Amino acid sequence: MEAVLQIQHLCKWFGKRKVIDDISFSVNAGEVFGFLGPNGAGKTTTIKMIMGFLSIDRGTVVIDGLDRRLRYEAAMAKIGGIVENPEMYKELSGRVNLEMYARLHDGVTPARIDEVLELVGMQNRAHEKVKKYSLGMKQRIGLAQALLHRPRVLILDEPTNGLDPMGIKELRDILKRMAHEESIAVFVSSHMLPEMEQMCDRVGIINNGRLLGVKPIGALLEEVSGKEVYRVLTTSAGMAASLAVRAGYSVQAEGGDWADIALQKEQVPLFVALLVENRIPVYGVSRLEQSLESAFIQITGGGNTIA
Amino acid sequence: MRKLGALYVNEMTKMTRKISILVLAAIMAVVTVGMGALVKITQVNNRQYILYSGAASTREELEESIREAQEQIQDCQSQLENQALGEEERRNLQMQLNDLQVTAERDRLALKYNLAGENPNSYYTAALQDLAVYRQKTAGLESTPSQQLTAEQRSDQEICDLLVKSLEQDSFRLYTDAKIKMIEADDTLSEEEKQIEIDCSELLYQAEPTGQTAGGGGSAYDRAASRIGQYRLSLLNNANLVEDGGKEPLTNQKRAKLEDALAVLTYRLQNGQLPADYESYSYSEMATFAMMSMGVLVLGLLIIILAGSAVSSEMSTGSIKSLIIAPVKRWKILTAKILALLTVSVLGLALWFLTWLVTSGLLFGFGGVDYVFALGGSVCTLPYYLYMAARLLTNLIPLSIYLLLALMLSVVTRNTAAAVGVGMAVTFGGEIVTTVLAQLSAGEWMKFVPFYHLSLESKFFPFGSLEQLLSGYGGDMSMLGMSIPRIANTSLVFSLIYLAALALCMALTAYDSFIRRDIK
Repeated sequence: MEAVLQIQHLCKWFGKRKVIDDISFSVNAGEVFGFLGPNGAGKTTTIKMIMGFLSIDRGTVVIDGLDRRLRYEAAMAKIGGIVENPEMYKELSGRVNLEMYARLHDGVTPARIDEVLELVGMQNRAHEKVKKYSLGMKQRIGLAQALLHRPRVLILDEPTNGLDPMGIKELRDILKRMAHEESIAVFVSSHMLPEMEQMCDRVGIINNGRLLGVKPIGALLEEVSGKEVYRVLTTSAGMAASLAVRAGYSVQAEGGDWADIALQKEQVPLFVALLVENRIPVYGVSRLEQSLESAFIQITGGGNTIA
Repeated sequence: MRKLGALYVNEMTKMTRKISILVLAAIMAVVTVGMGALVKITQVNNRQYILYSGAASTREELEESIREAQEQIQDCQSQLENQALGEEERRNLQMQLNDLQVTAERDRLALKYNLAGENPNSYYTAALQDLAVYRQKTAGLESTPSQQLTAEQRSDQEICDLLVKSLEQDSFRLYTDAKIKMIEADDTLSEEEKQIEIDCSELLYQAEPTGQTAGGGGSAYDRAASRIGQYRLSLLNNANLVEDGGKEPLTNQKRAKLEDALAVLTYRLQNGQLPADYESYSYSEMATFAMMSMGVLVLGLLIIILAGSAVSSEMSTGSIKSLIIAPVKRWKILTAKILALLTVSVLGLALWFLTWLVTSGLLFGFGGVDYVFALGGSVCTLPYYLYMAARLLTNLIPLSIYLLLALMLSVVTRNTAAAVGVGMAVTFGGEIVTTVLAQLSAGEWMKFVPFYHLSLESKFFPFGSLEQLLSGYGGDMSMLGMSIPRIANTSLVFSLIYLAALALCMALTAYDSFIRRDIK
């Protein structure tokens, strides 16, 4: 498989704070790569470094074999994308915005603009000024702009923002088609796992500026579904926790009158029975809505990278 | 280069949607037309107050003026009969009486030679005045036999005869001869000075043999001839008699300037490069100056607004993203913006030129006096409209400085309000402060004040304004239309180098900040 986007040892400091810490990964032609992480993890910062908004303090970005630092314009010509929200010139029509962007690339014909407008379903509204567009329409025009010059890498930052369910489905189909039929490398960031699940082939997980790991989506889902955390309310939380450890369950956290234990669904009645047998009063058991972050940490076993 | 061209086309596309351009272009046109109209109104109003004397008045006015003079003469005479008058008062009254008699005589002569309502700029005015004076001098000499007259009295009589003949035969040649005799008879002048004055009279005659625009206060020919005389006298006496009253000896630089001005004026006089009606000319010049300074001021505002928002507004709306994700280096983005802003400046100046052309053409007449300048010892001319275009284009230099200042602020602060506000405050505040400092006669250090160098017109076109050439005033005009006295003696080259260094510093700051800083 051909790695179209290669990121090696990327680092970024904002002042003294290291916001991106030695991130390396690569995205292959023909795959949709998900970049998953909570808000503030460094997703957008990474994307902005790839797209030329932020300087690269250390590390390299190679696009289709071209080092971005050495051959900036040639490398950037192979990238298309949307960073955060797509912002256009509001006084100009969607079409004029695309024409302006097309002018900065080589070989984008007016016919190609029509083709892309049709692809994103904006052919009938393209003559209107951008300030009249809804957020969803802006997303569509932004996608059209990103695809205009047939990039080898498509980078989308939270692309489903502002889209209705229909729009999300359409976007998903477009992205899959781009990757699988036109063998573009698609790089999508999100903080929502279910969204990733439906469109990505592989997922990289980022937190606190560090890449925790990259896994095929199937393996990831299996692990997340296999481990759930239940909170047991009891007056003797310490005893409950040590009991759980002795029985081979993992204790996530404990407080004064509660303990969080990682269990599979069928283990719950067995664990409750164990507590009762040992005369530990159980006031309630509830499944915790697992935070993505803790799930990631849990999945990746505390951060050892599998690049 | 292709990418830069594409970026430039895009920037121009964006410019077409900026309402501020349309609004300020309209304001500029209105202000330009308005300034022209204002000067025209002043001219029309002032014309009513100008008291034309002698030849310019109508028959009725002349009769009225003679009557008034007679009354005043009688008044004076009755006062003089009073024995109690002091010596001083008596002398004053006698002088007043003399003047009145000359005026009355002049007006009577105007009636006699049927010169009422003639062109005020013709030589008649001067001839009538001179004749009246010499009539006074030679009064009562007619009956005396010529053998008993002194040489001076005979010369006075000859002059008188020549003046009468010049009026009777309508001959400016005869008047010039009379004038030369007057100069020769003047004992206060040295031989060299006499020669200069005679040369000037001959020069004037050669330039204007009919004499129709060669006399009176309103004639550019007369002024040019007398100014040539002053310049030559200044060079002779090694002191500038025009600008500082001849207090200091001439430096080499000032001598060269005087020689150039002399060459230009002589060329103008000999080749008829002078306005026929000096008064209308100075109004049209005033109008052009007012129109240009106000037009360029509004254009300056527009450029500061556009440049001050060029980068910062794209940052705040986020539209900068579609430039950053495009495969173009950042320096090209900024360069395209500067080129687009310069294009707007040039188009603005072109719009001003059209507005001015039509307005001043309709109000003051089309066409004008060519620009005549001395270059390396020879005299060259530049056709009027070409000169106006070149003069207008010199405004691109201050406009570029404002452009770079506002653009730099826009890039560095990333805040449109701050960039435009500070840009305007620095630009116009600086202009005002510099002007005030210059009025206060600050020292030689003024040459390191940036704004001191922004009024380049008089440096590019030192012989530009005929008014300045004829009156000898050598100051600058600021963008705001205030005059800046020349304090520090700076050459055009020094100013240009200084401004280029300033522009380079601002451009480097802008490029450095735009290329290196993160866009978050």
